[in-house]
Amino acid sequence: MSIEPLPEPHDPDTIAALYARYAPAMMRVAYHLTGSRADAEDVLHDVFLTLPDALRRYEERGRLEAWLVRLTARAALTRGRRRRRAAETPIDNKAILGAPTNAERVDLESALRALPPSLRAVVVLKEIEGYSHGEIATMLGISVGASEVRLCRAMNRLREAL
Amino acid sequence: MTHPTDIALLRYADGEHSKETAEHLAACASCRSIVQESRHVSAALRDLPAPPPPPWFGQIIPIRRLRWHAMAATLVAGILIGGTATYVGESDATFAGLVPTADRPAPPSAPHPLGPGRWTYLTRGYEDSVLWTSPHLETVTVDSSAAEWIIVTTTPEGERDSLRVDRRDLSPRSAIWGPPGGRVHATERFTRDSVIDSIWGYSRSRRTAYPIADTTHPRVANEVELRLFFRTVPLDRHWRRGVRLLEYRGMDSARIADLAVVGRHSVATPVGPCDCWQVAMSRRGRRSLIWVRAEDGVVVKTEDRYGVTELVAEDPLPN
Repeated sequence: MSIEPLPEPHDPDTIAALYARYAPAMMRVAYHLTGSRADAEDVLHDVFLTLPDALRRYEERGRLEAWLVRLTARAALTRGRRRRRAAETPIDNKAILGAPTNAERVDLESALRALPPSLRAVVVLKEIEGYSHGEIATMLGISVGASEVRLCRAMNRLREAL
Repeated sequence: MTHPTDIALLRYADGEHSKETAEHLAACASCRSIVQESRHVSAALRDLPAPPPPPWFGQIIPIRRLRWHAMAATLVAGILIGGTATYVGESDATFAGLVPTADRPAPPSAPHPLGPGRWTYLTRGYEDSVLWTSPHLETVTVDSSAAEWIIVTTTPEGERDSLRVDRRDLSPRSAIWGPPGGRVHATERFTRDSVIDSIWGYSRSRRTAYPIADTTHPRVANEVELRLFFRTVPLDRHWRRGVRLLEYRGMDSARIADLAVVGRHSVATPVGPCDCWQVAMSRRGRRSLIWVRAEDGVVVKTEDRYGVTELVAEDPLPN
């Protein structure tokens, strides 16, 4: 079944196919931005819930995956801001990952989770997702310079942690 | 010598080469090391795993409500199994000296009601959470021979720890742990007395190593063993004076954790209130809290060093 470039917004099979193909990448960005599996699943849920409407705004510029990942990143960032305001605490953070096979990865994951959300967002979008500082600045509503400074601070902390 | 700014070094590490920075790096080892470390961090970040998305059920469903129900179900199951399949992995002898003599439980005179079975334990965040390692599932299988219980813990990655204990008094006979290729075989004396004289601990951040010699603290290798510890040694008020554990993570990494009872509370769970000891756990100056059910030593709730609380459930699997 062909998904790109013309997904049919209200066809359940299309949505299921999009999920099968792109949910892992969307889950990855949501997980690293929120730092919690439960939150990442909620973000994914919210994105797919609104996807039929959002797809009507998709203009076929660029890859569909990049568009979906961006949509997910925005949803994760919005959720993070809302959560900080409401000072919620998760009751279920059952991220079932593999056991760490190397201690460095454990340190890095811990250090990434310990970063303030403003720094973590930049480092995840730049270093893990590969966005440019210009794209990150647009997504986060900050200047390109601020994005660079935040990345620099975040990387310094991560380097110290390893 | 004027060093480039951190941002300039980061740009260079990212492939944005400028002539000035390149010339400086050729002559400055400390800036070169920053660039190399930044590239190393970037590569490690790209390799970080993420959990798979939840399965597609053919439609979008309200995740939160389902998750709550699932947790309630696992709690109910955990409590149901707790009464009949109490799982004990270390003997009283291992913990001798930790609990004041008068309050120390008498050695069992009859075979302990440990039975064959299989359980999964969900272990959770390292550092960011209360207990151990990154979140993952461990499966515990209890088997038996004529003289011993054989308790095998496995992770999805194939790490497999085994502990053999005497069927009569649960005293440990031997233990094997560690990843494939780096397995450690412990003798009876080791498991019985927890005398550790050949393990080196090290601090990655300070890049220093130190020997941990003649340590007689009980060894807990992971969250599962910490839970077994709570079930084995009854908590009481004397724990206010503190109990010290050795958290052991392999041949080259170990550290001390101090536990102390700081209160007794009723904890609300989806299946009703639980009467719990509140235990403070301190590691390297970081304090987290664990609520342990007074009745049977089952961990019910945790609070990490950031104040994030989580209810804990043990999920039994069908045998």
